[in-house]
Amino acid sequence: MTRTVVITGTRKGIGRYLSERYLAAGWTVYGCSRDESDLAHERYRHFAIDVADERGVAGMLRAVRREARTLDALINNAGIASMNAAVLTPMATVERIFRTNVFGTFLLCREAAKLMIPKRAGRIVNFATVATPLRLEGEAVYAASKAAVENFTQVFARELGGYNITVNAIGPTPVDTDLIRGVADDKMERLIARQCLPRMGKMEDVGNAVDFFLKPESDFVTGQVVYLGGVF
Amino acid sequence: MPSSPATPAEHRSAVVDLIRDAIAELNEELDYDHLRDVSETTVIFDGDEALDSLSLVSLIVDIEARVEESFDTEVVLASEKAMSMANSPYRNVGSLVEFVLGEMSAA
Repeated sequence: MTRTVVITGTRKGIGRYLSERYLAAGWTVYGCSRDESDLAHERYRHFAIDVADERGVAGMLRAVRREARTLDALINNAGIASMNAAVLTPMATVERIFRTNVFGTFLLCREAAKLMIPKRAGRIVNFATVATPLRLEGEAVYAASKAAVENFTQVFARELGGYNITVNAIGPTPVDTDLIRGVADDKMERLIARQCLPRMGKMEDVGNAVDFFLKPESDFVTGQVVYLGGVF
Repeated sequence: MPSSPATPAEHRSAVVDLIRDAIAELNEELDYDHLRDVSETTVIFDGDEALDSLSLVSLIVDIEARVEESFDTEVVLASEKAMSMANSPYRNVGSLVEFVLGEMSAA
């Protein structure tokens, strides 16, 4: 029987990559982003929603319940960043980043858990960032929003442990996507130099870590944040 | 899909039955004495003889799904007062019925 996963932020970047990866592996994928997607596949269904919109998220997960009857995994990939000195950051930017990264992650987790709790099984993978442990200057708001995601991940792991649902997070290094397109080359080089494994991350690196959290044998792994590239 | 009952009293009665069924199904697993004969004063989450939080969450998730299936109405049964005992909408069956009815009318 095909397994079902909800992936957020699937129109491009890592979310698009993960959608194609799990479709190729035989999963049914429910994806979402603010805009429509051109990903066409018989086992892919797209929802054009804002992850921070409660009604939109609840509606999407209800569609999953009606159509798939079950949900095996949630990958909370959707995220936005903004490079700026904290002193020069407008409040509107702070709100926008927290809405998508924190409120969106929370809403997806809450609604997905409602499908997982009755069957006492499920996997949730949230997205953190190496910017949090590195305390990256110029990324204060983004890093803080992902710090919130990390802590939420660990508390939620405790709350859902009794239902056999695991909740973990992956903290990618910079990967060549729109998220880092505005970062200057010299800044990127300095950032990568702080990794034990000093290279740019690849989509496959992220896919491999997500695979680990989703594989059946990982049912004893929860509340963990795995940073790629040797960052701690 | 059954349509909503015609009168408010019938509607309320249908919600009471829905919650009673959900509790009965949960109690097949739990086998708690105080949940065998459910009335509107039956305590759900209010101290010593109440459900633990894992079971409460399971019950509320099940009731959300049942409301959607039975009434074709989508509700989110989240409440700021959920875990505060005195005002919790989950403290007994009667308070939960009122909470569900309120969320259904707001949906």
